[in-house]
Amino acid sequence: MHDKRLLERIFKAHYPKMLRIAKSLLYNDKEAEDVVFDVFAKMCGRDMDFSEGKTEAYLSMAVRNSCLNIIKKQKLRERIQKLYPLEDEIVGDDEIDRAQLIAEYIETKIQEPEKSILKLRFVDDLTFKEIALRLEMNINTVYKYLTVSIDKIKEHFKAN
Amino acid sequence: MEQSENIVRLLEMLDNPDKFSDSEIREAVDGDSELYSRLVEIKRAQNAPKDVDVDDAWKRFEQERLSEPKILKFRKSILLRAAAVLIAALLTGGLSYAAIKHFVINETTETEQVATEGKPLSVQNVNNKTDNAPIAAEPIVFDNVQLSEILDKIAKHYGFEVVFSNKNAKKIRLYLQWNPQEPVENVIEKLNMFERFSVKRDGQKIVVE
Repeated sequence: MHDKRLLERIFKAHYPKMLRIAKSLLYNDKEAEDVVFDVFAKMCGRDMDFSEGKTEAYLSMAVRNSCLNIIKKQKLRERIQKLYPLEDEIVGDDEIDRAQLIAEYIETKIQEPEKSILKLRFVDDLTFKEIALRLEMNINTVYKYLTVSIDKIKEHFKAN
Repeated sequence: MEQSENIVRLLEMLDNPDKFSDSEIREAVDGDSELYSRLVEIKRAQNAPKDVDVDDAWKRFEQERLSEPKILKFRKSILLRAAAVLIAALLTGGLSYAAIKHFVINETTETEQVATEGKPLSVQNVNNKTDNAPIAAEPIVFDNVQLSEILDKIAKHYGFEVVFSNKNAKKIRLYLQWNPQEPVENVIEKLNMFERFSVKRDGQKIVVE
Protein backbone atom coordinates (compact mmCIF):
# COMPACT_ATOMS: atom_id res chain seq x y z
CA MET A 1 0.00 0.00 0.00
CA HIS A 2 1.64 3.20 -1.09
CA ASP A 3 -1.06 5.75 -0.42
CA LYS A 4 -0.64 7.18 3.05
CA ARG A 5 -4.13 8.58 3.01
CA LEU A 6 -5.58 5.16 2.35
CA LEU A 7 -3.56 3.72 5.23
CA GLU A 8 -4.75 6.53 7.50
CA ARG A 9 -8.35 5.84 6.60
CA ILE A 10 -7.97 2.13 7.25
CA PHE A 11 -6.05 2.76 10.46
CA LYS A 12 -8.66 5.11 11.88
CA ALA A 13 -11.50 2.81 10.90
CA HIS A 14 -10.03 -0.31 12.48
CA TYR A 15 -7.61 0.78 15.21
CA PRO A 16 -10.15 0.82 18.08
CA LYS A 17 -11.28 -2.73 17.47
CA MET A 18 -7.75 -4.01 16.91
CA LEU A 19 -6.62 -2.40 20.15
CA ARG A 20 -9.53 -4.05 21.99
CA ILE A 21 -8.48 -7.43 20.61
CA ALA A 22 -4.83 -6.90 21.56
CA LYS A 23 -5.69 -5.64 25.04
CA SER A 24 -8.06 -8.55 25.61
CA LEU A 25 -5.04 -10.84 25.29
CA LEU A 26 -2.02 -8.83 26.45
CA TYR A 27 -3.75 -6.36 28.87
CA ASN A 28 -0.85 -3.89 28.78
CA ASP A 29 -1.49 -0.63 26.85
CA LYS A 30 1.98 -0.31 25.34
CA GLU A 31 2.41 -3.97 24.41
CA ALA A 32 -1.05 -4.07 22.82
CA GLU A 33 -0.43 -0.90 20.85
CA ASP A 34 2.96 -2.16 19.65
CA VAL A 35 1.35 -5.28 18.24
CA VAL A 36 -1.37 -3.28 16.50
CA PHE A 37 1.14 -0.79 15.09
CA ASP A 38 3.28 -3.67 13.81
CA VAL A 39 0.32 -5.15 11.98
CA PHE A 40 -0.63 -1.86 10.34
CA ALA A 41 3.00 -1.11 9.46
CA LYS A 42 3.29 -4.45 7.67
CA MET A 43 0.42 -3.46 5.44
CA CYS A 44 2.62 -0.79 3.88
CA GLY A 45 4.02 -1.84 0.55
CA ARG A 46 1.73 -4.82 0.23
CA ASP A 47 -0.76 -5.31 -2.51
CA MET A 48 -3.93 -6.30 -0.73
CA ASP A 49 -7.64 -6.40 -1.24
CA PHE A 50 -8.87 -3.60 0.99
CA SER A 51 -12.57 -4.24 0.72
CA GLU A 52 -14.16 -3.60 4.10
CA GLY A 53 -14.89 -7.13 5.30
CA LYS A 54 -11.57 -8.57 4.16
CA THR A 55 -9.50 -5.82 5.76
CA GLU A 56 -11.08 -6.32 9.16
CA ALA A 57 -10.75 -10.09 8.92
CA TYR A 58 -7.09 -9.83 7.94
CA LEU A 59 -6.27 -7.32 10.68
CA SER A 60 -8.15 -9.26 13.38
CA MET A 61 -6.40 -12.49 12.53
CA ALA A 62 -2.98 -10.82 12.34
CA VAL A 63 -3.41 -9.06 15.70
CA ARG A 64 -4.68 -12.19 17.43
CA ASN A 65 -1.88 -14.35 16.06
CA SER A 66 0.77 -11.83 17.05
CA CYS A 67 -0.59 -11.65 20.58
CA LEU A 68 -0.84 -15.43 20.90
CA ASN A 69 2.73 -15.78 19.66
CA ILE A 70 3.92 -13.40 22.36
CA ILE A 71 2.01 -15.36 25.01
CA LYS A 72 3.24 -18.74 23.77
CA LYS A 73 6.87 -17.65 24.01
CA GLN A 74 6.49 -17.05 27.73
CA LYS A 75 7.06 -19.77 30.26
CA LEU A 76 4.27 -21.11 32.43
CA ARG A 77 5.29 -19.08 35.49
CA GLU A 78 5.25 -15.80 33.64
CA ARG A 79 1.97 -16.64 31.95
CA ILE A 80 0.31 -17.37 35.25
CA GLN A 81 1.75 -14.26 36.87
CA LYS A 82 0.31 -12.12 34.07
CA LEU A 83 -2.94 -14.13 33.98
CA TYR A 84 -2.48 -15.00 30.33
CA PRO A 85 -4.59 -17.88 29.04
CA LEU A 86 -2.69 -21.13 29.53
CA GLU A 87 -4.17 -22.94 26.59
CA ASP A 88 -4.85 -21.70 23.09
CA GLU A 89 -7.89 -19.61 23.72
CA ILE A 90 -10.17 -18.24 21.11
CA VAL A 91 -10.83 -14.63 22.03
CA GLY A 92 -13.43 -13.55 19.56
CA ASP A 93 -16.01 -10.79 19.51
CA ASP A 94 -18.18 -12.65 22.02
CA GLU A 95 -15.37 -12.81 24.58
CA ILE A 96 -14.55 -9.13 24.07
CA ASP A 97 -18.20 -8.13 24.45
CA ARG A 98 -18.48 -10.27 27.55
CA ALA A 99 -15.41 -8.55 29.01
CA GLN A 100 -17.11 -5.20 28.47
CA LEU A 101 -20.25 -6.42 30.26
CA ILE A 102 -18.20 -7.79 33.17
CA ALA A 103 -16.40 -4.46 33.44
CA GLU A 104 -19.74 -2.64 33.62
CA TYR A 105 -21.08 -5.10 36.19
CA ILE A 106 -18.01 -4.63 38.39
CA GLU A 107 -18.32 -0.87 38.11
CA THR A 108 -22.01 -0.74 38.98
CA LYS A 109 -22.80 -3.77 41.12
CA ILE A 110 -19.69 -4.83 43.02
CA GLN A 111 -19.34 -3.06 46.36
CA GLU A 112 -16.34 -2.08 48.41
CA PRO A 113 -13.92 -3.44 49.46
CA GLU A 114 -14.29 -6.04 46.70
CA LYS A 115 -14.24 -3.41 43.97
CA SER A 116 -10.96 -1.99 45.25
CA ILE A 117 -9.46 -5.45 45.57
CA LEU A 118 -10.35 -6.21 41.94
CA LYS A 119 -8.83 -2.94 40.75
CA LEU A 120 -5.68 -3.24 42.84
CA ARG A 121 -5.09 -6.81 41.70
CA PHE A 122 -6.16 -6.76 38.08
CA VAL A 123 -5.34 -3.23 37.01
CA ASP A 124 -2.59 -2.05 39.34
CA ASP A 125 -1.03 -5.55 39.56
CA LEU A 126 -0.44 -5.44 43.30
CA THR A 127 0.20 -8.75 45.04
CA PHE A 128 -2.41 -9.99 47.49
CA LYS A 129 0.03 -9.31 50.31
CA GLU A 130 0.41 -5.67 49.15
CA ILE A 131 -3.37 -5.34 48.85
CA ALA A 132 -3.80 -6.67 52.39
CA LEU A 133 -1.31 -4.07 53.65
CA ARG A 134 -2.91 -1.28 51.66
CA LEU A 135 -6.44 -2.09 52.85
CA GLU A 136 -5.28 -3.03 56.35
CA MET A 137 -6.79 -6.46 56.32
CA ASN A 138 -5.63 -10.03 56.74
CA ILE A 139 -4.53 -11.68 53.49
CA ASN A 140 -7.05 -14.48 53.95
CA THR A 141 -9.77 -11.85 54.10
CA VAL A 142 -8.54 -10.51 50.78
CA TYR A 143 -8.74 -14.01 49.31
CA LYS A 144 -12.25 -14.41 50.69
CA TYR A 145 -13.50 -11.12 49.21
CA LEU A 146 -11.96 -12.02 45.88
CA THR A 147 -13.63 -15.43 45.70
CA VAL A 148 -16.96 -13.90 46.76
CA SER A 149 -16.80 -11.34 43.95
CA ILE A 150 -15.79 -14.03 41.44
CA ASP A 151 -18.82 -16.09 42.48
CA LYS A 152 -21.11 -13.07 42.16
CA ILE A 153 -19.87 -12.35 38.65
CA LYS A 154 -20.20 -16.01 37.68
CA GLU A 155 -23.78 -16.26 39.04
CA HIS A 156 -24.88 -13.04 37.38
CA PHE A 157 -23.67 -14.04 33.96
CA LYS A 158 -24.92 -17.60 34.28
CA ALA A 159 -28.39 -16.23 35.01
CA ASN A 160 -28.18 -13.87 32.05
CA MET B 1 -6.59 -31.12 48.65
CA GLU B 2 -9.81 -29.34 49.66
CA GLN B 3 -11.30 -26.90 47.19
CA SER B 4 -10.73 -23.87 49.42
CA GLU B 5 -7.12 -24.89 50.07
CA ASN B 6 -6.56 -25.22 46.34
CA ILE B 7 -8.00 -21.76 45.73
CA VAL B 8 -5.63 -20.21 48.27
CA ARG B 9 -2.68 -22.12 46.81
CA LEU B 10 -3.56 -20.95 43.31
CA LEU B 11 -3.85 -17.33 44.45
CA GLU B 12 -0.48 -17.61 46.20
CA MET B 13 1.01 -18.90 42.97
CA LEU B 14 -0.20 -15.86 41.07
CA ASP B 15 1.96 -13.66 43.28
CA ASN B 16 5.03 -15.89 43.60
CA PRO B 17 5.11 -18.35 40.74
CA ASP B 18 8.89 -18.73 40.98
CA LYS B 19 8.45 -20.47 44.33
CA PHE B 20 6.61 -23.35 42.68
CA SER B 21 7.51 -25.91 40.07
CA ASP B 22 5.71 -26.08 36.75
CA SER B 23 4.00 -29.30 37.77
CA GLU B 24 2.74 -27.75 41.02
CA ILE B 25 1.35 -24.81 39.09
CA ARG B 26 -0.31 -27.10 36.58
CA GLU B 27 -1.82 -29.18 39.38
CA ALA B 28 -3.27 -26.12 41.08
CA VAL B 29 -4.72 -24.72 37.84
CA ASP B 30 -6.14 -28.08 36.77
CA GLY B 31 -7.54 -28.55 40.27
CA ASP B 32 -9.81 -25.59 39.62
CA SER B 33 -9.56 -24.68 35.93
CA GLU B 34 -12.79 -22.70 36.12
CA LEU B 35 -11.31 -20.40 38.75
CA TYR B 36 -8.30 -19.63 36.58
CA SER B 37 -10.58 -18.95 33.60
CA ARG B 38 -12.67 -16.59 35.74
CA LEU B 39 -9.52 -14.75 36.84
CA VAL B 40 -8.44 -14.36 33.20
CA GLU B 41 -11.90 -13.04 32.34
CA ILE B 42 -11.78 -10.45 35.10
CA LYS B 43 -8.28 -9.41 34.06
CA ARG B 44 -9.55 -8.95 30.52
CA ALA B 45 -12.56 -6.98 31.71
CA GLN B 46 -10.58 -4.71 34.00
CA ASN B 47 -8.08 -3.89 31.26
CA ALA B 48 -10.47 -3.32 28.38
CA PRO B 49 -9.68 -0.02 26.68
CA LYS B 50 -12.13 2.72 27.49
CA ASP B 51 -11.91 5.85 25.36
CA VAL B 52 -9.70 5.40 22.34
CA ASP B 53 -8.29 8.58 20.82
CA VAL B 54 -7.82 7.45 17.25
CA ASP B 55 -6.30 10.70 16.01
CA ASP B 56 -3.71 10.63 18.74
CA ALA B 57 -2.95 6.99 17.96
CA TRP B 58 -2.49 7.81 14.29
CA LYS B 59 0.00 10.57 15.14
CA ARG B 60 2.02 8.17 17.27
CA PHE B 61 1.89 5.55 14.54
CA GLU B 62 3.07 8.09 11.96
CA GLN B 63 5.96 9.19 14.12
CA GLU B 64 7.05 5.74 15.19
CA ARG B 65 6.51 3.71 12.06
CA LEU B 66 6.09 5.93 9.04
CA SER B 67 8.89 8.50 9.37
CA GLU B 68 11.56 8.35 6.62
CA PRO B 69 13.92 5.56 7.59
CA LYS B 70 16.73 7.20 9.54
CA ILE B 71 19.32 5.08 7.73
CA LEU B 72 18.58 7.07 4.56
CA LYS B 73 18.99 10.38 6.40
CA PHE B 74 22.19 9.08 7.93
CA ARG B 75 23.65 8.08 4.58
CA LYS B 76 22.60 11.38 3.03
CA SER B 77 24.33 13.36 5.77
CA ILE B 78 27.56 11.35 5.41
CA LEU B 79 27.58 11.73 1.64
CA LEU B 80 26.96 15.46 1.93
CA ARG B 81 29.81 15.87 4.40
CA ALA B 82 32.14 13.77 2.28
CA ALA B 83 31.21 15.83 -0.76
CA ALA B 84 31.89 19.06 1.16
CA VAL B 85 35.33 17.81 2.16
CA LEU B 86 36.22 16.84 -1.40
CA ILE B 87 35.06 20.18 -2.76
CA ALA B 88 37.10 22.02 -0.13
CA ALA B 89 40.11 19.90 -0.97
CA LEU B 90 39.76 20.57 -4.66
CA LEU B 91 39.40 24.30 -4.09
CA THR B 92 42.32 24.61 -1.73
CA GLY B 93 44.41 21.89 -3.29
CA GLY B 94 45.96 21.40 0.14
CA LEU B 95 44.44 18.16 1.46
CA SER B 96 45.95 14.81 0.69
CA TYR B 97 43.89 11.81 -0.34
CA ALA B 98 44.79 10.06 2.91
CA ALA B 99 43.46 12.94 5.01
CA ILE B 100 40.15 12.95 3.16
CA LYS B 101 39.76 9.19 3.54
CA HIS B 102 40.60 9.42 7.28
CA PHE B 103 37.99 12.11 7.87
CA VAL B 104 35.21 10.29 6.02
CA ILE B 105 35.92 6.96 7.75
CA ASN B 106 35.96 8.57 11.22
CA GLU B 107 32.65 10.30 10.55
CA THR B 108 31.04 7.06 9.46
CA THR B 109 32.19 5.14 12.53
CA GLU B 110 31.12 7.79 15.06
CA THR B 111 27.56 6.57 15.15
CA GLU B 112 25.97 3.24 14.30
CA GLN B 113 22.41 2.62 13.37
CA VAL B 114 20.36 -0.38 12.58
CA ALA B 115 17.34 0.10 10.37
CA THR B 116 14.64 -2.42 9.90
CA GLU B 117 11.53 -1.89 7.88
CA GLY B 118 8.99 0.12 9.79
CA LYS B 119 10.79 -0.16 13.13
CA PRO B 120 11.72 2.80 15.34
CA LEU B 121 15.44 3.61 15.46
CA SER B 122 17.72 5.19 18.02
CA VAL B 123 21.30 6.36 17.71
CA GLN B 124 23.84 4.64 19.88
CA ASN B 125 26.87 6.88 20.37
CA VAL B 126 30.07 5.37 21.72
CA ASN B 127 30.32 7.93 24.50
CA ASN B 128 26.69 8.45 25.33
CA LYS B 129 24.41 5.47 25.08
CA THR B 130 20.69 6.08 25.02
CA ASP B 131 18.12 4.16 27.04
CA ASN B 132 16.56 2.57 23.99
CA ALA B 133 18.94 0.23 22.22
CA PRO B 134 17.66 -1.72 19.22
CA ILE B 135 19.53 -4.99 19.61
CA ALA B 136 17.64 -8.25 19.92
CA ALA B 137 14.06 -8.48 18.73
CA GLU B 138 13.45 -11.63 20.79
CA PRO B 139 12.89 -11.42 24.55
CA ILE B 140 15.62 -12.84 26.78
CA VAL B 141 14.50 -15.17 29.54
CA PHE B 142 16.40 -15.40 32.82
CA ASP B 143 15.26 -18.61 34.46
CA ASN B 144 16.39 -18.98 38.08
CA VAL B 145 19.35 -16.62 37.54
CA GLN B 146 20.95 -14.51 40.28
CA LEU B 147 19.91 -10.87 40.34
CA SER B 148 23.54 -9.73 40.15
CA GLU B 149 24.02 -11.60 36.89
CA ILE B 150 20.72 -10.37 35.47
CA LEU B 151 21.48 -6.75 36.26
CA ASP B 152 25.03 -7.00 34.92
CA LYS B 153 23.66 -7.97 31.54
CA ILE B 154 20.77 -5.49 31.55
CA ALA B 155 22.85 -2.57 32.82
CA LYS B 156 25.58 -3.22 30.24
CA HIS B 157 22.97 -3.12 27.50
CA TYR B 158 21.65 0.28 28.59
CA GLY B 159 25.06 1.68 29.49
CA PHE B 160 24.30 1.87 33.21
CA GLU B 161 26.26 1.02 36.34
CA VAL B 162 24.75 -1.27 39.00
CA VAL B 163 25.00 -0.47 42.70
CA PHE B 164 23.83 -2.96 45.33
CA SER B 165 23.01 -1.09 48.58
CA ASN B 166 21.40 -4.35 49.62
CA LYS B 167 24.21 -6.89 49.29
CA ASN B 168 21.87 -9.76 50.15
CA ALA B 169 19.86 -9.06 47.03
CA LYS B 170 22.75 -10.03 44.75
CA LYS B 171 22.15 -13.72 45.21
CA ILE B 172 18.36 -13.69 44.91
CA ARG B 173 17.36 -15.94 42.04
CA LEU B 174 14.62 -14.81 39.71
CA TYR B 175 12.62 -15.70 36.72
CA LEU B 176 12.46 -12.65 34.46
CA GLN B 177 11.66 -12.04 30.87
CA TRP B 178 13.41 -9.02 29.39
CA ASN B 179 12.89 -7.33 26.05
CA PRO B 180 16.05 -5.35 25.22
CA GLN B 181 13.99 -3.03 23.05
CA GLU B 182 11.97 -1.72 25.95
CA PRO B 183 13.04 1.40 27.87
CA VAL B 184 14.97 0.90 31.09
CA GLU B 185 12.08 2.37 33.12
CA ASN B 186 9.88 -0.57 32.08
CA VAL B 187 12.53 -3.02 33.24
CA ILE B 188 12.90 -1.25 36.59
CA GLU B 189 9.12 -1.33 37.03
CA LYS B 190 9.11 -5.08 36.37
CA LEU B 191 11.91 -5.68 38.84
CA ASN B 192 10.03 -3.74 41.51
CA MET B 193 7.23 -6.29 41.34
CA PHE B 194 9.51 -8.61 43.31
CA GLU B 195 9.04 -8.03 47.00
CA ARG B 196 12.45 -8.87 48.42
CA PHE B 197 14.25 -5.84 47.02
CA SER B 198 13.58 -2.52 45.33
CA VAL B 199 15.24 -0.99 42.32
CA LYS B 200 15.55 2.63 41.33
CA ARG B 201 17.34 4.66 38.75
CA ASP B 202 19.80 7.30 39.90
CA GLY B 203 21.13 9.06 36.84
CA GLN B 204 23.10 6.44 34.95
CA LYS B 205 23.07 4.03 37.88
CA ILE B 206 20.67 1.25 38.74
CA VAL B 207 20.51 1.05 42.53
CA VAL B 208 19.24 -2.05 44.34
CA GLU B 209 18.00 -1.58 47.91
